[in-house]
Amino acid sequence: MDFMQIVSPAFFILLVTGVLGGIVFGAIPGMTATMAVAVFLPVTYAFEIKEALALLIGLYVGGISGGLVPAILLNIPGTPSSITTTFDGYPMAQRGEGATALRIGVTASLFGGLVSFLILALFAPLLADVAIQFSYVEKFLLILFALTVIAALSKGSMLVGLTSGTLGILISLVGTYSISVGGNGKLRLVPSILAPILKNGFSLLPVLIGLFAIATMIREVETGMKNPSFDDVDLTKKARFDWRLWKEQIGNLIRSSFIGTFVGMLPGVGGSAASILSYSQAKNYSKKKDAMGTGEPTGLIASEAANNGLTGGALIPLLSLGIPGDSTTAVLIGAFTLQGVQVGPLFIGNHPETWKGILTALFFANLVMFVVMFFSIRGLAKIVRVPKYILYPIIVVMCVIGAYATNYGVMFDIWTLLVFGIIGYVGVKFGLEVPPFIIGFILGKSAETYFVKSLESYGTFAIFFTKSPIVVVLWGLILLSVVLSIRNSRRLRVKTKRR
Amino acid sequence: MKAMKRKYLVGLLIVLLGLALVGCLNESAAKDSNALAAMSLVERAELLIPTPNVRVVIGSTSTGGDTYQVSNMVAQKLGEVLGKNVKVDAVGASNGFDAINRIDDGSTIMIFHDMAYLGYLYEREGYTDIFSSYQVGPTLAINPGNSFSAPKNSAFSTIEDVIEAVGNGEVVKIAIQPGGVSEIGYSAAKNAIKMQYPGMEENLVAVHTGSQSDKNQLLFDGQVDVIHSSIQANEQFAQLPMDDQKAMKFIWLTARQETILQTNDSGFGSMNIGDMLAYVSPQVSVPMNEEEDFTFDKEFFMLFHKEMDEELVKLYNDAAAEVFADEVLVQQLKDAFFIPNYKDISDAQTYLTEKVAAYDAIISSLKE
Amino acid sequence: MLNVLIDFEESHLFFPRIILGLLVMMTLVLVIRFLPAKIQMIRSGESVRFFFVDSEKAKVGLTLALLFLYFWAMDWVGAFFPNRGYGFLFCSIAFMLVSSFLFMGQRTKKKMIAGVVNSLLTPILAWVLFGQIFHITLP
Repeated sequence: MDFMQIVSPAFFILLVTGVLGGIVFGAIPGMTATMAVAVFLPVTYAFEIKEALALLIGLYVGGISGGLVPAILLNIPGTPSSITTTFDGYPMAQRGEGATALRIGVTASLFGGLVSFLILALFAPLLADVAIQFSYVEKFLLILFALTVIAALSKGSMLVGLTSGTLGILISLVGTYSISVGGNGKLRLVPSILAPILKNGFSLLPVLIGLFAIATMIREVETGMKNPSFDDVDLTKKARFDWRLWKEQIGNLIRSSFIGTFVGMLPGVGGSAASILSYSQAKNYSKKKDAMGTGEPTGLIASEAANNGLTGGALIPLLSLGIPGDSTTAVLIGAFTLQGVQVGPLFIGNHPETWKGILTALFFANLVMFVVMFFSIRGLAKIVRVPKYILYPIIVVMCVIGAYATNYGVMFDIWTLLVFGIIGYVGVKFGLEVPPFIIGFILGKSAETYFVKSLESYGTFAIFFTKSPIVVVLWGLILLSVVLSIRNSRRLRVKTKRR
Repeated sequence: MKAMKRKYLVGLLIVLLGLALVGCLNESAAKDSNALAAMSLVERAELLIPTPNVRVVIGSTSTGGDTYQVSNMVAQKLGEVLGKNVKVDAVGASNGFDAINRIDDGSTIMIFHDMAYLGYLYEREGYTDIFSSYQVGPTLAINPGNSFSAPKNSAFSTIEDVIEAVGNGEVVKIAIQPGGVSEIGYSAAKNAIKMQYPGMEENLVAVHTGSQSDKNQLLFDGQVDVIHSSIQANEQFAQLPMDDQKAMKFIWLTARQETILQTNDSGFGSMNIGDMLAYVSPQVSVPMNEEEDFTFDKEFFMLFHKEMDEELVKLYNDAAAEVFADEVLVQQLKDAFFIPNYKDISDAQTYLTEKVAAYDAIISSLKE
Repeated sequence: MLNVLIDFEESHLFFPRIILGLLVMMTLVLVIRFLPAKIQMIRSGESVRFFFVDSEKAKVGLTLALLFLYFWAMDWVGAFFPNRGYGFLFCSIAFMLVSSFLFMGQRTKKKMIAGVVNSLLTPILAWVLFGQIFHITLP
């Protein structure tokens, strides 16, 4: 194939622009890869389809990757799929290993991205046929599987973690049972006085940045906005590539990339579920379980490999069924319709040139992302040195833009920011565990749809056990995950008692 | 310390009050309808719309869907005609209605399709009678692709077979999204069964689901026999070989024959006009009453605030006429498989009122 | 026993009821397990404190009030200039000014200048970049 025919200079310039723009969007708290793609979508009308896609795929990869920066350095997930990055990334930064953590995260992202690229390039149509074996029933069990992470995540009592997670699910259900997922459009969990305000429920992004960014800021205010207690010692050290770490982590890296790609390829299960699932599995199979959540590279790698693995995965159903795999590819589909290109089961066969262009873009986007981020780490890590009276006002303003843009201009989303800022701040004082809460919130709505729709169709709970061989496998995984996390928390309790 | 803080707050308040004052001064421009009539569209827009940026909210949250596509094309041209920056925001039905309920100065308008009134006819929460809650503006375009599909190896070759089978006691499941464009086709089929085989209509069962991908999935699973579909999204599935689990065929297009006849000669994908006509009334007939077949064109139209100034309404009406006088835009719409269908406000209102009455009759007859 | 019939018109309540039930159960167990210990703690005179650092209590309240005022004013001011993002622009400048001074702690001339420059620059740049160039709708 004529490589130069695909990679025109314009193609490459747009790709690099996309990656850079994406990283910036991803790195700003409150702005996401989805937003980056949506913002640039109208611009692409002027380009040829291949060039348009180079730009947008660059934005997608850059946006997903950029999210790790504030997640690690500020404990604020830059995009929803980097929530699990904060669990181990931020403790590392607190220990003064911010630059190391960024380096690990970026490398894991590259690996995840390339694995998903390979899978997309080699198996796209084939995997699409696998994806359609997952109906409501299987998808519900997959969500349940992802929810088992709550048990594994609970820091103190598992019951407190589970309660926080359940509360998160409940809050996600507030509002109408949306017609767009097949619900009846009726209100629940809302007092009738508040119906006009709460009818659409809470959107993920404002909830997320409220809980993380705003609540963190209020907490900082309470403790007097002291400058960082952690010094950035590792900036002075020379950047070395730690081969030993990667040799240890290769299993984790591969597993996480595969989980990311796999979850990405199931339409509707969504982006954040990928890194959540991968994190919980990394914890279950890690030798240093107890260290997870306290700044253990394993968790960081699991999260970042998975969320970049997602990119290629989400493109699989888009390009071989015409169905987007996550929220960003749902916007991406607009680029095809704008250009009058039909995506569907015949797309790859009908448009081989465009298909090759997409693969080329995805491959290079990951490389460019790696180069750009790896060499700007020293600069990025200095964010922690910015005085907080400068940093936090900027973060609030950025979060406002991001929240308002979530639904293309709805004031309620900004109020959500404040409400969940307060919930995050006050809740923690009463023992609320934020990570299980947000995971419950993220997965709650899909859990409902898949659960209720399965029962509506089949009329019996038995279907969750008898539908297909996949169901049996999923139950096996769920049980294993639950048993492992219970055993783990027991062992931990015994250990602490001995001490 | 305390005094300083107070100073900031007072300063902030003064700034805010100043801004409010500037806002009020803007209001006082004179609007004389005779003088306006002599002006160009740009001049009228300059005088009447208090902002250089006009916002078009749409009833869909998708930036990849048909509503966004049509609205975006129309908005671009509308911006040229009015000399304004027009931007489309995919806020969704509920937020969109909220916006045009709140803002009456012409700076925000809405574009939506038949769901706007179907949601009300199906008594879905958040939907009200569009004629009394808003001002219905000009119609813009039709998406002719609204359709129903079955697996390729299904025994049903058209919706008529479905109606007959249900009439003979077979239970047929059909996947639709509740309360909207896809439910009206289902209701129409049900109504036709009720007319021909009274009492049997209960055998046509709706399976409520969400997006097109959810509907397809139910079909792949064998959970339903028929799904609501669209030519745009499902045409490639119709080209797949019979032994593919994903292979589908169209069994009904709800558009009117005259609508399909206006599409580009090349049709869509592998379907030309002739192929499409084979699934359209009168070839495939779903009777609505004694005289007429049921047809449904998915139509996009403007909605304004209930009390938006008469001159503003006139302005948008004239601007839309100007937009559709442009050959380039018309061709652009056609190339994207839309049928330009501009009707000025009074025509649009008559036309939509009749449309609503017809569908209301179907829905109420099923309630009996 | 496993069979269940869900009426579509009532299906919006099915899952929330299950979750609500689970939540009530878990909360009860939590209360039974932890309440006695808490009561013990209070009885033994150990104070249960809400604020870890009492000295900044007022600042927390002020921050919350400021955020509330900022969000409210943004919408209110924005309404005077439809679709131009001025509500965001003006109120963000005001918010950033007040909040950077509030968070500053010890005020030095250098810090104050940095705060003011930041408060002017960030909203203007954000407004130009996101509002004008990228056409993101702002309040």
